[in-house]
Amino acid sequence: MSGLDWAPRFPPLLPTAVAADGEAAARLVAEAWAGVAQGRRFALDDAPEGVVVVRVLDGGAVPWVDGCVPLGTCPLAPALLLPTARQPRAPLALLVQALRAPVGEDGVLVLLPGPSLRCLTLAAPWPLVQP
Amino acid sequence: MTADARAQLRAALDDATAGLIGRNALCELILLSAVAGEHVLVVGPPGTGKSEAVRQVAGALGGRTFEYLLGRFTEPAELFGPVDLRKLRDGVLEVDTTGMLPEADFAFLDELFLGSTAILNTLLGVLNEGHYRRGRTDVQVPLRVCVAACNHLPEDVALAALADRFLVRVFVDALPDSRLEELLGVAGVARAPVETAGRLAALDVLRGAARGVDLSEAQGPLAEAVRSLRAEGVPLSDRRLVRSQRLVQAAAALAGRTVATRADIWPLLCVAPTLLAQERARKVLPALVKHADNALLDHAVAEVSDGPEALAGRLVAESRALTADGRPGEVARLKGWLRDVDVAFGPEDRPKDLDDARTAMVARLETLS
Repeated sequence: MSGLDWAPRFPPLLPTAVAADGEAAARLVAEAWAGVAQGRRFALDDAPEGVVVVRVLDGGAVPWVDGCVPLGTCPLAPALLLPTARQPRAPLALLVQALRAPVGEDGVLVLLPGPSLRCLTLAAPWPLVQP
Repeated sequence: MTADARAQLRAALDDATAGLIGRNALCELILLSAVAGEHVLVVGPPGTGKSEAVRQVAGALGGRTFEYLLGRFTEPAELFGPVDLRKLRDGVLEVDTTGMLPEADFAFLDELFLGSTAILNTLLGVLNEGHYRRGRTDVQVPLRVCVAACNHLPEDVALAALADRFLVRVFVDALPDSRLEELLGVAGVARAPVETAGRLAALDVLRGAARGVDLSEAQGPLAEAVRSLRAEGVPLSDRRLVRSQRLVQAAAALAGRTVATRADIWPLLCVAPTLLAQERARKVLPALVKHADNALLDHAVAEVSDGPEALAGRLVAESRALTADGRPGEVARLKGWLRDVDVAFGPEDRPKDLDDARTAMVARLETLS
């Protein structure tokens, strides 16, 4: 799939999840566990391509580590997680339709900015529960 | 000379807002109003830091402050001073204003609209004319700014004249959940005494400079903005519009300009009289005030213009106060700041000064972790 043009989004979306890959993914998971130890409620998605997505379940702030991408949803596409600060230069409804076609109606899609299009499908998240 | 004065006021604002969470814009608008010679009405529920913000600004500028919580049975003497009974026996009506509102540089009147007609009429005279007169007492009032507070705007038409004297309207609410850790972190932390010498004089220098600011370049954009606001249903009387020019002059003076430009019309939003009007104005104004620029009043500009440049400026300003302040919870505050930056700006879109500040904050966090 070819790349997608992105533009800054202002005001940003309300962050409800955060994604990270590589070394940042490990730090993000650790940060989420640290939050759980303090009573926060998160769910973890082990997405394809080594990406980890942490979703906020208690309405509080998203965890932060250097290199993470805060994600949010916009009313036009509630089942699509987008970077809070960037928006694709494409009609969102058409984009969602195109991205949904191969994966069906189930699950949440994550669209990450980058030189090539990165659209990941999230299945069932695992709630993080304090051992 | 005005550069020195602005530096003094910058230091005063830094002192006033140290440990005051989420009220930077209010402090800046009080300062703007003091420079403009206008007054501020703060509307919001009790316990939202209204009086603390006024106290902090007044304390940081070094002026005499008069603060009073008005009630239905408050007597005029409680604000303006008692009648001198010895002189009254000789048939002379004179008021002893020592330490009372007529001698104050800054005034904070909580629950203003609960005051009696006698109090409100006298106050109207003080705010309109800058004089307090009663019997043989005729005092020129040194008041730089009067800040009034109420929980709701008055609906009584009889109070409208007084409410209208308060050109700047600020609506405050409880802090958002995301800032509760900061609020709890500063609770009970003692403030260091501040050195205020020369700051009141600096304020007066800027007041003089503001009166001399050339408005000719800003009047076109200002009229354009008002037309847009009125088209959007934002009520803005001719009187408030004309007086708003003093705020524009003050904004220019505080930005170091002798000629007001499009970058200085942002205070217009604060002149919109109701919360609804300000919310409507917020939708219209960003396009018109996107050039808003005022390094000294960056929080107020960010609240008004709400544009990415203004937000970046506010974040950079916040970063300066974040590091090495010795307060507990620095790691949480640094992470909160970095989260705010990353939520609002992708790596490709960050202005350079914000990117530099972010790099410094990440490095600072690494040393603490």
